[in-house]
Amino acid sequence: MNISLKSGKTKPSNPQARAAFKSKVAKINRYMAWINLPLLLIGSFMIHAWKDGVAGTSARSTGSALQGIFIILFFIHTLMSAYLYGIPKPARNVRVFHIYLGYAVFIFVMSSQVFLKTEPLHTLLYFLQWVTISFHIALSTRFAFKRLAKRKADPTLAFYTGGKLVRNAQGEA
Amino acid sequence: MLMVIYSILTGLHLFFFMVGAQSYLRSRSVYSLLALIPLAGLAYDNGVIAIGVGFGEGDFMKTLNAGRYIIHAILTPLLILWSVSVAQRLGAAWAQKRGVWMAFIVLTVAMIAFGFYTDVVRLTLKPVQELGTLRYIAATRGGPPIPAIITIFVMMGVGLYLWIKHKWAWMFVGSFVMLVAAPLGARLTGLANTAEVVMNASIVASDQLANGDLDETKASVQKPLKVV
Repeated sequence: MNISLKSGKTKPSNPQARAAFKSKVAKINRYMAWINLPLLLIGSFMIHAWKDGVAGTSARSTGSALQGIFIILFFIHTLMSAYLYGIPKPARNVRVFHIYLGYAVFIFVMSSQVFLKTEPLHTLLYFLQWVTISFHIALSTRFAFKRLAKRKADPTLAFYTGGKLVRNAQGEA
Repeated sequence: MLMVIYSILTGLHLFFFMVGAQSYLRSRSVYSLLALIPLAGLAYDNGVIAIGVGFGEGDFMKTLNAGRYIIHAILTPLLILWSVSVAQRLGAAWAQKRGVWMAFIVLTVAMIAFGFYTDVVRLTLKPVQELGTLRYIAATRGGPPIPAIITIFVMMGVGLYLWIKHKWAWMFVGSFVMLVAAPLGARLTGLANTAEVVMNASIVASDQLANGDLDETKASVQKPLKVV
């Protein structure tokens, strides 16, 4: 059963519809994170290349633009994650750890920028930012492979009860 | 730029450490610790290089960097014993013999002693700045790192055995990548450290194989989350 909102759109009220809606949001959230990753990497490396004198000022401006887009998407990704997962009960579970690691990324990204001129605090926070990002992405990759393996798992065929075996098997697939 | 790369490598080492630790907690095999301890050491190694520039030159960074050499000297040869343990856990007849174990224990102790003498006792450090990183390196180096080379060759030997007997190529591939990348790392900064991540991935996967974690029937089931 759906409840009508003032805007005319409907908000799923029963648990199944709510779960389906959250599953859709989670999918969008994951796709957005994968788009965000190259923006962060390319943007950061362009700025560092300019700082190290390897690239010119155009690298700096392009890198800054990419990082600007990254920050917007990063905020949306964090907000969507907070909506989807909230504050999970602390447990010795990789998925719970993954969520908290994501929140840690947010804290370190923001705080490393706040203490930009305070050394060695800035370097430490910037280091922790990249450590948590790479750890978070490695875990995400692991989960993505698990989802893919689950999707590609061979479907079990129903017990043969007569008829043409090849046609039935193709129908199941 | 290198600071970011070393930070990412630290994160990846910690990730593989976590995967290895999960396998250890399931199996409680002491042999898994022989792989986990060097893994933690490599995370420390990359982490110290990454944060160096923030602290600058001084006794603090010098001490942290000396730790990198101590860790490499003491922990790397432990992988010799771990390699033999993988073969033993997978049922290799030769790895069940007491004599074989004694020989590899002697080799491991000898490599630790040799590495400690050449890389720690005679260690003098000098600071080096490169592409936004600061680290201390050995001012004088007396020849190639024999303990690390011997360790890689033992891993390759056992890896070859696993490849032939168990159709498991990853241990051989990981150690071979390290063997090729280590000398190139002297010319291309960060290459050897990146190869270490590849080697660690192969170590963790091989340890999981030895612990029986890659058996589909033992795959863990994730519990649903409880939101408070």
